[in-house]
Amino acid sequence: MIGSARVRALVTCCALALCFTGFSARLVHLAVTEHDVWTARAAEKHGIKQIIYANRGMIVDINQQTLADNDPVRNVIADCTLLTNPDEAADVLAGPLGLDESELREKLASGRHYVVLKKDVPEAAAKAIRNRLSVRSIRGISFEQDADRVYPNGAMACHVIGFMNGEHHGVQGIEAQEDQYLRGHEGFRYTERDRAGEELVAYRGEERAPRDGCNVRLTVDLNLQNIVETELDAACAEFKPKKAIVIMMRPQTGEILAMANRPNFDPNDVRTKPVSYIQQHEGDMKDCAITDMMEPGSTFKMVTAAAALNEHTVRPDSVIFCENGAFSYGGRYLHDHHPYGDLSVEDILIKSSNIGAAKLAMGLGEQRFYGYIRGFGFGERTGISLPGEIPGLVYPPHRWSKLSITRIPMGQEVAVTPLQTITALSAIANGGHLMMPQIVHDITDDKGQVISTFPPVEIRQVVRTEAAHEVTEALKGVVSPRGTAALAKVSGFVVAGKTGTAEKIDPKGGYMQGKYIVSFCGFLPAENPAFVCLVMLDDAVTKPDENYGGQVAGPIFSRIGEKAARYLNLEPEPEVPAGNIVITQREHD
Amino acid sequence: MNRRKHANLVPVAALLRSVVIAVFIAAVGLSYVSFKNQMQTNGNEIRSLEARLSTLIMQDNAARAQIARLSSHSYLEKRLAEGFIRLTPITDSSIVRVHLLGSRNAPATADTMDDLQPVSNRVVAQ
Repeated sequence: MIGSARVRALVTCCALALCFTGFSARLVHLAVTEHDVWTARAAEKHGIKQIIYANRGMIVDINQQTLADNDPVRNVIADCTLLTNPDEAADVLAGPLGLDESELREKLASGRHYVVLKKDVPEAAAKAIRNRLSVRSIRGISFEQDADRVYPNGAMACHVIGFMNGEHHGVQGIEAQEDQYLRGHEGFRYTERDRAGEELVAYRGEERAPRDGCNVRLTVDLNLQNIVETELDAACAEFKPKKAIVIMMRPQTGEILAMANRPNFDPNDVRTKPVSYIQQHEGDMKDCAITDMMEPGSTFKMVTAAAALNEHTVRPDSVIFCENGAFSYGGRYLHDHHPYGDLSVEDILIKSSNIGAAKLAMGLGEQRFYGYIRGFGFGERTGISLPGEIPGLVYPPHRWSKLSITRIPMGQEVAVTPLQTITALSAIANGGHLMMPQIVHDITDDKGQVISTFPPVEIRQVVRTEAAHEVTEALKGVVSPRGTAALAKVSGFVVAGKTGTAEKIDPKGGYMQGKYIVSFCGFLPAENPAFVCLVMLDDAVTKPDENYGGQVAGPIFSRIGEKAARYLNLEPEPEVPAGNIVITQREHD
Repeated sequence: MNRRKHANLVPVAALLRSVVIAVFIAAVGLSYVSFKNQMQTNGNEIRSLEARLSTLIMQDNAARAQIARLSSHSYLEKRLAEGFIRLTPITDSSIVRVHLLGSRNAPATADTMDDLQPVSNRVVAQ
């Protein structure tokens, strides 16, 4: 009996020992041999990599007014493996998300881990949906953080700001140019979740905090931009041009104060419109101020006069015979709009004599004249921080025809961008310094620390200060009753500027009859300019005898100049100083 | 008899040692469970605070975007056209400029400000 009990005990012990040995062996096998396999499966089931989104930086104007910001939204995501009753979930979600219930049911029954149900759901709507899901105890629906890019000023400065595509990448303007700064860096966190899909904070692993994008502050002043856009809209309503461009620049620093084009677009619409719409309106989205080139017309005469005066080939009062309106050279006649006899260099600019300008350039010679054209920045990119800028077209003298020396001085046979034109005039206005146009003032990080500033960059001294002042004196005469731009005057200020009326180039060759690009580029106050402004209209609809820069663009400049001067608190020229303290009252304009 | 009595004595020391070990193990076990429980509770609290913070940041961003929209030129002009706000333009006759003779555009400096220096500065200078 005792023996059999001992045997039974022994057998039981052996069986247990074998059993535990088996378990132990299996545990060792799972924990050691198949460790990686089971770790991966556990991680797949419970471990997740949470993306922590970074906010895109803002774009603001010089006064910190918002030009581009982020509106927080949620993307509704379903983890179908956690859904116990897809039909119920579809019933709850279809209405608030505005989705078709049968389609939604199909999506939720797919069994996939990650299904995007709807993007860009406003925060308030997401909260309401979350509450409804909570009441019905539905698991497996999450709300990812996202942001919609918003442009509070709509179409204002749209070509400068640009826009973004659906993948949150800048496509044009500052959005594209400064994308690497604006974008920021997403963070992540490895963590685990329980059966209910809730995160187990205690099991958080490696983590990297997100870094929000930097804020980009432009040199653009939204108030000046508004003035420019308002006047541009009025001009477009009056003249119905194919394109219209206005640029305003601070000549001493090259800072762009305002830049507007027509046609334009609302960047808020771009994300919501179909691709076909965007392709159809691609032309509207081009920043013509830097991507279009055209013959400048008579505005180019200031380059010719500045070069001649700088080289001392003439003085401002030197007299040039203007052939009574018809100058035969190279077997072709060059005409003036009105016949002139003797004109001083100043008068050549004031009257905009083609023959006079041609003779000034001939006095310089091809090579020297070409050097000044390039010196003023034509034929090369200005270097502005905007994408897509073109260099324009300036041929070297060995490619010039015999007639070129008479045509280029009056703004033919060269193609320039509007930005190059205003940059060149800025060089005249500031005493001969060619400044690089600046559109970005500084870049700050998300804590407001300035990480990059863009001080003014002088490219070169193009002409002597005295020569620049001599040209300025002549340009003052242009905006006088004697000149071509009497309508560009601004009450209380001395304006200097130059008109331009260029025939449009026919793509088939030659010029298009009756089609003109009219412009006026001027600055005020002439002695110490606060801004330079270019107004350019392509193919304005007006009477043929009024389709000139002075007639069409001049008055637009005048209205912009008057409003801008008041906004910038520029003091009108004093009338009568009296006593130690002068009190000046402006008369009603 | 005496030997038998001696053999039946309760081994207090060993028993005590066993009890202490058992209590220690139990305490360690309970502490571990309590610690894990606390970690879970704290984790949930952290998660809840993070969610609240995230919501507040989103609300802040949404409010900022709305302020930007409501204070934009286009919106203000729309409201102006609707007659919700009224603006009175500053007429030229109401602009008065005061400056020293000969320094129209230059900022006033100490050398040229004798007549306009505040009294407190004079006291300090003395």
